[in-house]
Amino acid sequence: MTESTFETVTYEKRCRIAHITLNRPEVINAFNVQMRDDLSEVLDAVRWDPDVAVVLLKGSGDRGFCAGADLSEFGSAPSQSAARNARWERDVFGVLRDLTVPTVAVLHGHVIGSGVELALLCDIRVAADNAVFSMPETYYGLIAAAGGTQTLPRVLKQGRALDMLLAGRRLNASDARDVGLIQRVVKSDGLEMESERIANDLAEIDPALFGAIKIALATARDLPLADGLAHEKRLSIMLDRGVAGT
Amino acid sequence: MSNPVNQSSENSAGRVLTIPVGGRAAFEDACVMAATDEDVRAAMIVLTGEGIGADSVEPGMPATLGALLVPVVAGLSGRIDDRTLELALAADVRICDRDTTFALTAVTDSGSGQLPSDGGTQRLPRIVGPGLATDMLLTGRRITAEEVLRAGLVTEICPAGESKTRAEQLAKEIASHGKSAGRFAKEAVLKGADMPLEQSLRLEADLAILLHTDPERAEGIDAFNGRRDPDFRQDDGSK
Repeated sequence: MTESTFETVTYEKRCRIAHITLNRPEVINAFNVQMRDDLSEVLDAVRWDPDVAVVLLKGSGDRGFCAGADLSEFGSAPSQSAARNARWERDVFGVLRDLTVPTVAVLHGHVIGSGVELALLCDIRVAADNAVFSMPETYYGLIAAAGGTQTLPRVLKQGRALDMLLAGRRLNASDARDVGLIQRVVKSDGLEMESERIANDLAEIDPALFGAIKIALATARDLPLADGLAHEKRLSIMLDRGVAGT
Repeated sequence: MSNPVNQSSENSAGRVLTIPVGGRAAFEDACVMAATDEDVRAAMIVLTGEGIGADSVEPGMPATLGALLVPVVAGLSGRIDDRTLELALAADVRICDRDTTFALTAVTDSGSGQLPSDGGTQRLPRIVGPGLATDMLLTGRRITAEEVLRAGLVTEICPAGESKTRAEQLAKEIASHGKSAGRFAKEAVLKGADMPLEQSLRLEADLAILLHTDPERAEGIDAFNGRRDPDFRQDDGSK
């Protein structure tokens, strides 16, 4: 077992399962610059660790997974160019999205703004029945900036995504499951056990196979059908030869 | 139908512009106002499927509505068919009365047998998915409010007769949000849908950074940190 504690994130590896926990419970794990940096370090470690088979992304405390970006730090960038550079120099969201191992967002309570966006970058989303989802950015004169305007409509239907992003519609756990934002809802006290069960199942999948599936799904999203089908065929051949998914 | 300009100015206090559909000229005038009047923060359109009918939604109107940068809410009731449906699909947020029904009859209507040409073959599959869109196009099947809710064509079903009021509430809600934020979020979703994910994320990030120059963003952040509601009215007319 490996355990590391950063200022805003805790990391534990048990039985090939990486438990990454956002850890600012006093502010419902609001995502700040420190958390971006801590998460970036953890994800870099996970990315190159062949002993990690599954990632669980969680939030500490009773009140929720993540209350969104910590706006108390907004406006601190010296200039727009500096803000833009920072966005891509430490693209923690891109690293999370591109992990080749299965990632599971384990959600409870408040799942707001960046919290929803982090969850959308994971492969599977499971939530406690007390989870509430919303994207309130435009209410504060902001827009989602961790991929939400792109990942939300790709996971939900376009109209539902616009409704959440423009009108700020909130979804409870059961609504969120009905529209496909999350895949499973469990009782609050069963969330940990269910997420471990999912992780154990996922850990059984051959990593090369899972990596290939993830690439294939990304291809299905972005390529014309004929190119996607050809790519799927190539991935399958590479997998048979033991050279895919890495 | 009342004069669109009067109707607009009446509504612009709430910064919601109602776009009338009773006549082409009034519709086009209102769309021009939605596109040019800096005070317009959200638009709404009410489609009743009665008295309007497919025939009074003329070719090209869905394209005009779809080109607006400002978020548009559609309140739907009655029979939302053919070009009326295509006009609704050009809005962003759609809600309907419980007894509303939807159909695309252009292909199956033995008298016409036409191709829908105002987005029926393009916006519909993007909004409800290819399965239901193909079914509707090829069979002309009339579908219920419950079915379009499941398909994501509408996001809310209202009690009979209440969709107009509810659409107005939603439009006012959107109008109370940041103006550029709403427009940028709409653009990010609609333009980003046509891009590979990687490029679309760049678009989102660039719009988010561009928003840094917007005084409303500063007001929103200040309000959040001060635990108060943002007040965007103070910026009206200054940009």
